[in-house]
Amino acid sequence: MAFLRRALDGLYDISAGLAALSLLSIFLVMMAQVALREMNIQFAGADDLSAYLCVATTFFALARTFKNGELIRVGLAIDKLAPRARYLVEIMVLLMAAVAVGAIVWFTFNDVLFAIEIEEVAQGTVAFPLWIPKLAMPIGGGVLLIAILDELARVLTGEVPAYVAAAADRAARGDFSAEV
Amino acid sequence: MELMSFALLLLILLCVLLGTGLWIPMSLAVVGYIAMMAVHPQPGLFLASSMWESTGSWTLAALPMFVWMGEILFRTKLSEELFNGLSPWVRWLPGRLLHVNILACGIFGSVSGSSAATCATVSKIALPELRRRGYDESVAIGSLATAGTLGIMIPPSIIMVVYAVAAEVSIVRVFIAGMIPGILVMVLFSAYIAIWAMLNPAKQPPKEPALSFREKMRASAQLIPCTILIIAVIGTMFVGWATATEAAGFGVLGALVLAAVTRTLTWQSFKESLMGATRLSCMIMFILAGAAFLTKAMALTGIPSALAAGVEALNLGPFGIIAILTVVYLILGTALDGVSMIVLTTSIVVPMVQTAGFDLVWFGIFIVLLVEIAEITPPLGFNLFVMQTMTGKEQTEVAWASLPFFLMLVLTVVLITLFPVTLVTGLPEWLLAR
Repeated sequence: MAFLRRALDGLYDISAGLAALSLLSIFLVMMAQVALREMNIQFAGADDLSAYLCVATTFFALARTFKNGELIRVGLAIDKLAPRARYLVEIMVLLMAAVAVGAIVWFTFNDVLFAIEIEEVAQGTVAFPLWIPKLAMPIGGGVLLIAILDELARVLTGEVPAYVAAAADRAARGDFSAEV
Repeated sequence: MELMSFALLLLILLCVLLGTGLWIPMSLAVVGYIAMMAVHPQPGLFLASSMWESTGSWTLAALPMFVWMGEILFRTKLSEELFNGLSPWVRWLPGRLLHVNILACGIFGSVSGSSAATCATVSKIALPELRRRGYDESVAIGSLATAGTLGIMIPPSIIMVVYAVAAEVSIVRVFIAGMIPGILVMVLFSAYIAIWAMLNPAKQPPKEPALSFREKMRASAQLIPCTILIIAVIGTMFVGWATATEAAGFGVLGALVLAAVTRTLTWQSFKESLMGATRLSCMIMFILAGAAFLTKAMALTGIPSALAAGVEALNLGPFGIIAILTVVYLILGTALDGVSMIVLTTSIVVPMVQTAGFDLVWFGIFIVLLVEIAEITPPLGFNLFVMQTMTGKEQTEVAWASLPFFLMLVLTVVLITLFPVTLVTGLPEWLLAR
């Protein structure tokens, strides 16, 4: 069990690390574009590249953000429930989330397959094959799905969900950096 | 009328899903899927394309950059310096150091773009200082809770980027349009403090010693580089030298240099800022992705345009529509966060607002003001919650303390509705026309 726990947490962290690298790369691409422009060289496809990195930032970070309780939900009603009712609602919500994210993974994966089939390429200055950046959606979504099932298993065995514990911990520390 | 009952059904479904605590982007996607089922044989067809197009855009790249810039500056000594740097300059005003709250929140707000973080960061320094010097606690708490919301009004603002992307208007235009209302809000807050101070001389603490100009400059020296950075980021956008995305990229560069020069940039703080920015950006952009699918579904069902036509047929006039929308947003604001409020409604409200003849840039400022108000409205005003945690007081007490400032925000809403061109849309027109 301890091994599985470590492997799963490692998976979320690797995925989040990829997301962070993507965000850093948006910045680096932008700076490279400006620097090259000064030397009168055009950085072909830079704008498209930034856009793809934006998708990667979003989807690869999902699992970690979810685990940390930083994906927003309306906690108004659920926080006021008695423990037993709350336990049941939490299970129901996690099941719904699993179905919704499962659908997202399914449809985005099909979109990738379709992009390969029709050899879809970017319309910009560089004809990037689109299935590669599009892969971020089913992969990131898939890791999120694993994280949701992971939480479901935790709740079923009577543990407090990690996203609840993490959010409570932040509030206790007076850390509100996760809110807009 | 069948369409309207379907719309009502979807609304109820959304409320139920959100109420049970299903994460917001997933709730939006589920409702979108069900709406799509009614009009399209393959409801999932648009799911992938909506999510791909909404999160994969060069314009949206401004969002993670501004978030990261805020996260870097958040970890410098800026927040500690704000109070000491600003306090020498406001001692001559009635209400004295209470004005620091407003100014500090305004400056920090332009850095962070987050209302709760602005409120928490400024309060952490300002509250103990003000208490120690004997300032009235109620006004201090109220002003901090409310001025914290300047974080989303003063550009660069994350909420504004979200609105601009969702409503498909220029980010820079919305930023510029927010300048005058932002300053107006600050002036109104300060005016209230000054008038309150003159009416209640008994509640004023003893005067602080006067400082010479040189001493004042020394106290605020460390604020200067940061102020220059903010002005540079905003300025390059406003005069049209850089797009919002480029300005945001330079903002990150500037913030990194600033942090390095002030020796607050460590490998640890760099990593933390990057990870924090990644998660916050992910949260916002995933909501945008879910909302994009719902918007697509809505457009295909024809509900927004039917609603717009229905409202037009009621002949409410522009002010009537704005009054109704104000009430709707105030209600929404009691339960939803700002980002969700904006993306959820732009898909339905924007056609209505356009039909009624309102400028979408103006509407962005209007909606941002209402999000600000929502942050300090019980029972789920997030800034009230922040102040509760910081002071250990009851929410009702914090809410009462914020009430006068709340009224100033409402007054601002009235003013920008009465003078839309002078206060909001005039400045971007003038600046961008040159």
